Amino acid sequence: MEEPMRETDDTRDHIEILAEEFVERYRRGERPSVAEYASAYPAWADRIRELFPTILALENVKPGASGSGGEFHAPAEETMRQLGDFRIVREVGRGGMGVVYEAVQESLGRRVALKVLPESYSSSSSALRRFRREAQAAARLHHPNIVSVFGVGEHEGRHFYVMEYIEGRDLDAVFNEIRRFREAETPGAAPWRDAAAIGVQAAAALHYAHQQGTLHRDVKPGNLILDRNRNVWITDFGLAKLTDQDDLTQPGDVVGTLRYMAPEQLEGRTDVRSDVYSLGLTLYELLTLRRAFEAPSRHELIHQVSFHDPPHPRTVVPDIPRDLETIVLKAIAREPGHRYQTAGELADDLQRFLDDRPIRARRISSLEHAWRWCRRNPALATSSTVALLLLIALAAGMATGYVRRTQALARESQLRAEAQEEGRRAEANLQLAAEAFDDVFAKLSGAPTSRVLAETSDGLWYVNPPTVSRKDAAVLSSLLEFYDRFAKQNRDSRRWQVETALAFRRMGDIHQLLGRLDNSETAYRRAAEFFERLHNADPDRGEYRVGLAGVQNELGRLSLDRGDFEQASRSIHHSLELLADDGKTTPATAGARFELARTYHQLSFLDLMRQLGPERTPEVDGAPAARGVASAERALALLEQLSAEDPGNGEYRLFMARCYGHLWGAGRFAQKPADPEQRSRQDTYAEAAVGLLEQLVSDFPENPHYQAELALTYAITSHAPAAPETARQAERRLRRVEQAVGIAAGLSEAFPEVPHYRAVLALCSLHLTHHLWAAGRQEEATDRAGQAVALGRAAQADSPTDSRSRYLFARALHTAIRAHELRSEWPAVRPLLEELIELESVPAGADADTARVSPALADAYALLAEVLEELGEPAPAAEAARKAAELKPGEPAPPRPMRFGPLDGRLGERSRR
Amino acid sequence: MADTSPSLQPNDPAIARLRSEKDVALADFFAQNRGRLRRMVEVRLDQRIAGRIDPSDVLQEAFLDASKQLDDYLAGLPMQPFLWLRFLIGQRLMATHRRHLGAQKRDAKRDVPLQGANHPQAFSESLSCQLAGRLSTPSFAAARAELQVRLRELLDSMDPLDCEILALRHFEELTNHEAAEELGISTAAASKRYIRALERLRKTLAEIPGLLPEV
Repeated sequence: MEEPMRETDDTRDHIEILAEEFVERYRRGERPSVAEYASAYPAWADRIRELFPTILALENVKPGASGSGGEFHAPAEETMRQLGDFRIVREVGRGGMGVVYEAVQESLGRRVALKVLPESYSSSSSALRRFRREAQAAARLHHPNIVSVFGVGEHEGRHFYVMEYIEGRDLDAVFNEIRRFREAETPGAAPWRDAAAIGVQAAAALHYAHQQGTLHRDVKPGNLILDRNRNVWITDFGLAKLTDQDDLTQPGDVVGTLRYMAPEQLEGRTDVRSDVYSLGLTLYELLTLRRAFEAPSRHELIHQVSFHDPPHPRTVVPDIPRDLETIVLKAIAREPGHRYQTAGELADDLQRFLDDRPIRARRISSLEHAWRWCRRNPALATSSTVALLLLIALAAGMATGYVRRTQALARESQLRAEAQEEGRRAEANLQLAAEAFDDVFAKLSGAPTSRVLAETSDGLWYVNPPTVSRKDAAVLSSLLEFYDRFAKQNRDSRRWQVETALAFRRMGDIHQLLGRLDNSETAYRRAAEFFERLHNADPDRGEYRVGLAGVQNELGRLSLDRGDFEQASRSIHHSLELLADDGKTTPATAGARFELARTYHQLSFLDLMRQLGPERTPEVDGAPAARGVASAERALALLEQLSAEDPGNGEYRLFMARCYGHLWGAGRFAQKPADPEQRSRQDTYAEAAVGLLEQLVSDFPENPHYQAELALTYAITSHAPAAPETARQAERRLRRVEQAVGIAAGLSEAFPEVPHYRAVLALCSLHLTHHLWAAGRQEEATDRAGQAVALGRAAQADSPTDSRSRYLFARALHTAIRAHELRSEWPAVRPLLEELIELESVPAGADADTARVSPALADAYALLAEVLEELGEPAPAAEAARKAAELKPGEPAPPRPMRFGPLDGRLGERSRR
Repeated sequence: MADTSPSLQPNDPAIARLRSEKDVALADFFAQNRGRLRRMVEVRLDQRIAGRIDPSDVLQEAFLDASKQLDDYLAGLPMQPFLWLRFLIGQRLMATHRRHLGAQKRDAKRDVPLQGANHPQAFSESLSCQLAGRLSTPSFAAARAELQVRLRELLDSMDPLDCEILALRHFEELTNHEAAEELGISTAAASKRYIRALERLRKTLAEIPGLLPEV
């Protein structure tokens, strides 16, 4: 002490002085960072960066930091030879929750893993109670990817867990090994798929445990064991719960746990989404092979987990597939509400990635915020339009920008990277556009958004989505152009080919709903092209075949609507071929079976139309009707099975009702319509169809399409039988048709943009006309006929190329003319007749060569001649008579299979009589 | 050897209090430093008997020793009070080890004579155990055992004095001054030795990837 102070602080190593201060602050609980010191003392920055991490390592592993260094010391070896029934084979690891041994349970001769808890647990009875409770919960879990817990045991004060012994290594070890041998790894291998496969198993196991009410709470690489067969085993279920909050202050393994904890978990809130997060972070590290969060201290780690996002995986490893990155980022979203809401959803999305199917997770972009805002806006129709326009503008700009830039900058690698990023953004926007499309479609159709192929339904008359405006369609069309362009630029992206095919298919549906058959056909043809290409590239993929078959069915129906039976037949048979149907075996997937049922339903309709429809072939002999019955029955068998498997699916029941409708229609053509047996069968079919639809309307009151179908079926099946009936029966039929008119009128009013509902109303009104006439209420019937004409005229204007609206209009005109004719109201007959002649003079059918002149035209001219005579106009009357003779000299039209009564008779019948 | 204790102040308030209040002051002083003293026991207790010995017992015995020898200490003041307690604990530890392990651990290479005490060498064991433990997880057994053996080899190959000063500075949380006094060297020498030891440890640990936190 008397020694002069020649060795002052000045002679101490500067770094050491800084180190002492650093350590002092660290021990006080402050968490100074190495970087902070390095930048504060630039002269020694290098040495600080070199040495301080070592200091932190020493501080972190310092024994007894928590006051009892007990669990960091191995128990004396000799004491761990035997634990009761268990003979210890070797120590296999140790962590915060104790030491794990491989052991043999001697009484059973089985190999087990024992987890021996730290002695501190044995001293607390409440900790032991929790331990037993958690062990019991874990023991209830039986899953191929969860390490089974056999039970708990206690021997000489040491408490332990008995678990299934899994030969394998935990993911921590796997990481390290991969990291070490990274360079040696063969390029071209697909580690991403392996990682996703691990994720699928682990997520499915977690989902199972969650459903059993057990949270893991400590999902991390160290708790996932990979065995030799690449199966993943989750271990230590619920064990983390045993660890008190205090234990988080311990160094070592607990920090390992902290690293994977969800932000809300740090605040003491835990639910299934916390496990989703931890698994997501594990996958993140599996993909990037680096820690998502790395901090020298617990304090800093907590800060990072709470406030920072790890870098996007692709910025670390650019090769990681984009979808996989999207999935991981969704799983580790800071806000639990933005994550997958269940581990099952995470498993599903990973599986979709593995199957090359579109994943459900979406990337977040600034556009999305705009979109979400728009969706919150209650004025849905307008806001969605605004949002879509915004999207189209931005997304389209993005795509063109991308193309120009890639071309211009292709040679400069640095800029090329930028262009690629641009492309990624364009793709992200496209994904957003796809969702916008789905969203609008779902809203319009009132159906839940379903992106599964072949689940979009069609209808006998028009397609399903009930509410859509032409403006909406225009917006969607522009969106579709963007799809198309992007898909062309990305021919190698199968996923976008699928998306685009689906979008075209939907656009076709929407156009069809709006009665724009030409636009609809164009869209379906484009969809078919995309599906065809996909199908050719991968003929074994069922979805593509089913998707293509679905579009062929739609095209077939369009041809039917136009009266082009040959084309319709080709499309329908193409669809049958695609579905590889030999009439005996049944496709495996529900989607394929439904599409097959739709195809048979279509086929039955085609055959019935050949026999019964307005364009019926004169030489028919009943064979098509018989075929139609067979097809309808085949479709019904498929649908009944589907409906039994999934009773909640209304579409299956809708098509069943339609098939019964077909059977009913075929029965109208039966040889002996008055046969009681035949009649009772007819009634059964009608009641089956009506019963199914009434149930559907009550199950889905919000779906107007089911209501329209019910109205149609009420009206059509109320058609009076050929045999006489009682007044009460007739009265009941009339009431049903009135009900049908009421429903259809309500729909037409509620959805003025949808021509289908007006067409339904026209048809129902027409039926009501006949019933009123039959009931002797002729004046009312004549008024109704006038309304049916007006509606038919509108339907014809809505869809000029639709053979059904033309048929409807012609029928309405015919009925009204007959009503006025029978009441000798000649001035009213004349303009209607002229309108009918004008309509029938244009050949029906898409192909002018195959179109036939309607036989009703001759009758119309003949009646016109008569009417003009009555009205005192002999010259035009003679001209009309000449026309009538020229068209069909005296030959009667073939008999109508479905006659309504006197109003249905030939024009001019009265005068001929 | 008092002349190598650069920081001992005879009119240190702690010493003054010990003089006036004796056992009461000693108990207070002991309690104030209990954490660091206990850590010393934990660090230096041989791993083979760590499961059987409670560090509190060692501290208890050392306190009784201090109480008995307090007057002698105050008369001579050979070192700072804190280091004196460490000295007594070191003696107690040696006795404990002799009792439980006999003479088997008298490895000349690892017995480093230090000022006033001959602490058992536990640094490399302790450190290798801790560091390997950080990496270890269940079912990583073989790799972990291998790693621990390798670490211990590496640490054993380090200069025992390096290990000692690192253990003092980090595991026992001594300041540079205290470490200097404990080792009987100047503060400048202790400072330089500490940094040199740190540098060597860094190089050693760098041979095993993943041990050091990435910055």
